[in-house]
Amino acid sequence: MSIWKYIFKRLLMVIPTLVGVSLLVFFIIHLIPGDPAQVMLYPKGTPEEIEALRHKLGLNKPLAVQYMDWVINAVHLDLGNSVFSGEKVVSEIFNRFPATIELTLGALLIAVLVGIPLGVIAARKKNTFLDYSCITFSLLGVSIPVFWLGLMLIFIFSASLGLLPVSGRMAMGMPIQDITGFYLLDAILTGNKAAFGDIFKHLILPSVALATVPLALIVRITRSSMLDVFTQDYMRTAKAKGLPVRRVIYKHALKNSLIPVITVIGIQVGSLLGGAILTETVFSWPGIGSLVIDAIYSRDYPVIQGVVFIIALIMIIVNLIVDIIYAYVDPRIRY
Amino acid sequence: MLFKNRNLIYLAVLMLTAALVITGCGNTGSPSAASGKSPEDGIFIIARSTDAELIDPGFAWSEGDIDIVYHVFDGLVKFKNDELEVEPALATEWKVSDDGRTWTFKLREGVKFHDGTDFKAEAVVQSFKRILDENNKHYGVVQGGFSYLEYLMVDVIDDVVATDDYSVDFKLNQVFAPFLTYMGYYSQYIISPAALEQFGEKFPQNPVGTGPFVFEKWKKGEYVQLKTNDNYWGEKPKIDTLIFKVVPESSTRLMELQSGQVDVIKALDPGQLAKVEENQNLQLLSVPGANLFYAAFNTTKAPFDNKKVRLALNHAIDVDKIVEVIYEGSGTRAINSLPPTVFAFDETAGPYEYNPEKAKKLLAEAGYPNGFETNLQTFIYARPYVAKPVQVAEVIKSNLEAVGVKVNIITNEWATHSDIMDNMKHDIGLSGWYDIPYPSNFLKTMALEGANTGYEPEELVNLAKAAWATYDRAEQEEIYKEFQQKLYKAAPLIPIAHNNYTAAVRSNVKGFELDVIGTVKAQKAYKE
Repeated sequence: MSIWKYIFKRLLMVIPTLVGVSLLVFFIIHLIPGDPAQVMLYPKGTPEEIEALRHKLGLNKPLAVQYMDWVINAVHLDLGNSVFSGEKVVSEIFNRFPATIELTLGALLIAVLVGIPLGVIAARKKNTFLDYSCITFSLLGVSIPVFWLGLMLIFIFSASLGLLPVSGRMAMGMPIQDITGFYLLDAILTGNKAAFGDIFKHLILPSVALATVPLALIVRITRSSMLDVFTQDYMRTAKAKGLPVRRVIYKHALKNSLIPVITVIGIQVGSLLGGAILTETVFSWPGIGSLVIDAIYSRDYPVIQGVVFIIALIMIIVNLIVDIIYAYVDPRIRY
Repeated sequence: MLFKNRNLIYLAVLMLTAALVITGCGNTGSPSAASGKSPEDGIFIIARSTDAELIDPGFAWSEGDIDIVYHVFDGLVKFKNDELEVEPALATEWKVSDDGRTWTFKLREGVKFHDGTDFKAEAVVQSFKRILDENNKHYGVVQGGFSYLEYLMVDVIDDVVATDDYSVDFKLNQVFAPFLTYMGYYSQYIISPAALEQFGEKFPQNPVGTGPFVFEKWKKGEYVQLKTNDNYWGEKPKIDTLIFKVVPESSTRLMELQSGQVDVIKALDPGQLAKVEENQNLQLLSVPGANLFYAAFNTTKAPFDNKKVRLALNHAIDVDKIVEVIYEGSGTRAINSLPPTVFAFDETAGPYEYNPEKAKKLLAEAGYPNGFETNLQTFIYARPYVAKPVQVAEVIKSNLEAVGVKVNIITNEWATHSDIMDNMKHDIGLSGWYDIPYPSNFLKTMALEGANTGYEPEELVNLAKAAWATYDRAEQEEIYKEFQQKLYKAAPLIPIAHNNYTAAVRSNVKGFELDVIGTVKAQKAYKE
């Protein structure tokens, strides 16, 4: 099967997956008690007023009808309107997504650039002080609550040392033209150096906080995968034929141990996109996480559905990209 | 050996890179952001936990919206003080007809909306009719859901008529005591009909009023930016730009303030109050809030249909302790359902003293000598009237268990909690209320209709109606005092506390106001 055929087949699989996800989300959020009308009116509204608002919001239609309405609209790329702000869910999501993607990429970049070399070092220096340091470091990374770490980072680098801004995406009142919503990119496009520096600084602490978990995972996976590869025959061959150790490590061993690392990175992209909620809260980062958490508390059904739908879509695409990358990293893999 | 050294070099480079990344070296940026100063002094930044949803007086309902509506829009009248006496705003004078059912307002001339159109009587008519009159062409254009104007007065206002360009008649179907007070509240503020025409359903994202600040920019989830209205009819603001920044986490908010990156933070945790007071660079603002936190009995079922049981539980709970320990001094013990700052408050209508022995005796008299088992519904997360609802529930539980009542605490998130309370699925439920500090809002609309106690006797309903039917304050006071006494004796709920509204400002900030309704006002604010 050619890779194109494979990609096509995988893309077709997207449809049943999305239907399944949307169905699941739709019924789960309607099963939990409390609805937008109650959230808006409690405790001020009488039962009649709440019922009238439900009627106005279309919440008293049978669930199956509501779901079908939603699906029909979704097919036309209309994910409905937020119950609370009245804005289109699609535009709410696209207003927020650039912030989350910027943060995710920042975190991922740190995790990969720091994580893979640390993993390699740990593997090479197995059972030495360096190895133990790396292991401890990564253990700390997965165990420290992001919320706490974020507050500590702010406390140290912003509140005490005054090196970095406390929170947000940029200094308030900073003149910047909003073109793509990706502030760093916008600053580059408009050649606004001051804004670029400011935005970059705002990105540092949340990226570091968000990077800890994926970084720790990458260190551990790289290490164990490298150790695995070290025992392979071709490694002995490579060493026996007198290749420089550096070449053996980085060319032969690292490339062969990357498959599980890439898998982890792929999964992390998904969980970073959906799971940055805590980091976004601590750092007042106006991304998708804070949007969805507010929506869940206020039972803003269309927004919850919309966000989950889009995140599911992105997860599927990222997984597909990861599978394609496999084939490039390991020529033995063919679809 | 060579390789070993090389690895060390790699490690060193790596660490250096990490250090650079972490400390943010290699920056090209402005020094201002990191050094903790706002880029310009004319910028005034208020950090709040939430963003706005709808910047439209007709549909604003959350604190996030209301703060901004007060800056962008004006009402016909405005509140002069915390007692809610009103003074002229867009109306210069007003009178009520002899039958008390027609209010005539003379409007201020020469006022312009931010879009340049003239403020005239027609704007007042449209602002009300788009909400109240189904036949108005703007009715239902904004997809707002809940309208506070509609909620307050749809049953009261029959018609709004422009008699000439600068006078308006409000025709009511009854004498309605709170009418003039309500006209000073945000939901009755005036919008530009031309802008409504232009933006349609997008009006709340492009709000146009006559207020001291002009809407400039809104990055959802991030900030709302306003600029000074240079043509304002009243006292012009001293600051150029007013920004409402969203900072959800309270610790982050405090650090934003400490490092000088914002000028004001709203809604402090009780634990932060001392920190602010100790810090010379900061100043604490704290006002007794027009709100009530209470425990509601479900009087429609046993054992709470028995008045003696309700009295017993009122005696069993050490409310003073709750206010002292959990509110940490940032609140007042509630005497009855009406905040003591509101006119007509009767200080003799409560409270029940803390007396476990008496509680036990009353329980025995009620036929529960060995107590009973009951559920106590509470909710996670702070609300305007309570910062730590779960801890309050824990104190109540230990108090009640001391008199033999076994309590199961059930903790819900807010939407679930509202579902339980609305459908009277609770035994005892913690809840709260915040509103315009007018007696009827706390006595009629809350205690009688909204508290989910199921206690709504004809006698009190009639008293509430009678109080609405007179503009005479003395007469109202007499009725409301009788109401409070009767409510106190029936004890359908346990009033717990009125939470203080808090904000903290940098010490160089002057003229900034926080009011009893919990909204912030920066019209007169400036930095020294």
